[in-house]
Amino acid sequence: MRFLCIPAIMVGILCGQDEADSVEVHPCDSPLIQQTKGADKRPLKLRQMLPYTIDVIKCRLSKRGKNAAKIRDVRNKNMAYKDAQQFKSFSSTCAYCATVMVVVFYLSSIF
Amino acid sequence: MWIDKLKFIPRMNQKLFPLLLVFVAAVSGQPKLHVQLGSGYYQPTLTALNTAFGDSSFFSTNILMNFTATYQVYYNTRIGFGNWNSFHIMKDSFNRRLTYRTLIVETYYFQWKNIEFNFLLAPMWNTCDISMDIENTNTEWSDLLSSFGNTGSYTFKSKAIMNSSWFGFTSSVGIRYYLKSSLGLDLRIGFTNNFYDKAKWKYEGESITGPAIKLDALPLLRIGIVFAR
Repeated sequence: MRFLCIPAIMVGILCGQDEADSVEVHPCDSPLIQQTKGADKRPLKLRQMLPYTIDVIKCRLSKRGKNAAKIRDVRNKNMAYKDAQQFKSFSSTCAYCATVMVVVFYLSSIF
Repeated sequence: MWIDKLKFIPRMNQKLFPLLLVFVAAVSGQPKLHVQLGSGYYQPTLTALNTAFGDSSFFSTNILMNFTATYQVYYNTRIGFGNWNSFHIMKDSFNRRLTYRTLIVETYYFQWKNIEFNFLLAPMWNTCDISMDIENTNTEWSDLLSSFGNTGSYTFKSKAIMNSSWFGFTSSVGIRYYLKSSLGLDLRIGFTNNFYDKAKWKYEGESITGPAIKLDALPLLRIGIVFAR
């Protein structure tokens, strides 16, 4: 009974602590994420890898992370569309070649 | 001094550096790795093989399992590697595996923001393996084990393989719908042409005659899911 009471009291005390002093940081603003971004990028230490990964996942799952991913997605799509909207250089030759070969193959198998 | 030998580097850089810069800009401007997992349908004539096995199924004859990885090297161009497999696995008997390996050159363009049309040309190096796991007894092994005081019957396992390789060629046109910038669905129609020769089989290093299967001109339909990074 004694062994049950002591941990229960400890947990009660810990849970009852006033958290007014602690400042809640959004996972996307985590110092570890900030460390890997910007002009003065610094590599992470090995022991920072796990907290960093947890922060990245938390950030990605948060509302802010989802919005950022959506914006990135639209930007990437626009960029890809802009860059590959028209054939450039030799790529059109390859496309013509592939199309002609496939069309000729299927026509020859029909006739 | 050894350092004098490095004097050519600044001279070389004057010409090489702008070229390198252009190349790196072209490569790193759109660095996109595309990995595709999917399935394909084709119609090879494997009658001789299936008759010899005494077994056949739609999956083993007509279905291909695809893995393809390509890297975007230019605005409209990706190069990469593809591996398509057809399996015929019989329990406690023969296993047949047809592997089609492709060296892909693929060009594409975006008709709309989510829809891409792609065109593929690829030489192929294909193989067919027929193997069987054999379990047998061996008196020398049995004698050795019994000399250590082991009693009972022991078997040893080995694998016998016959295989053949040949060149081929594939071409296809396809459409890809991007659900996200990093996720797409791919549908392709094309063909493969194989220069298979039944006289070019090997069994344990010895030349033998293989099955008269027909793979020369095969229509091919492929679908897949694409992950881009």
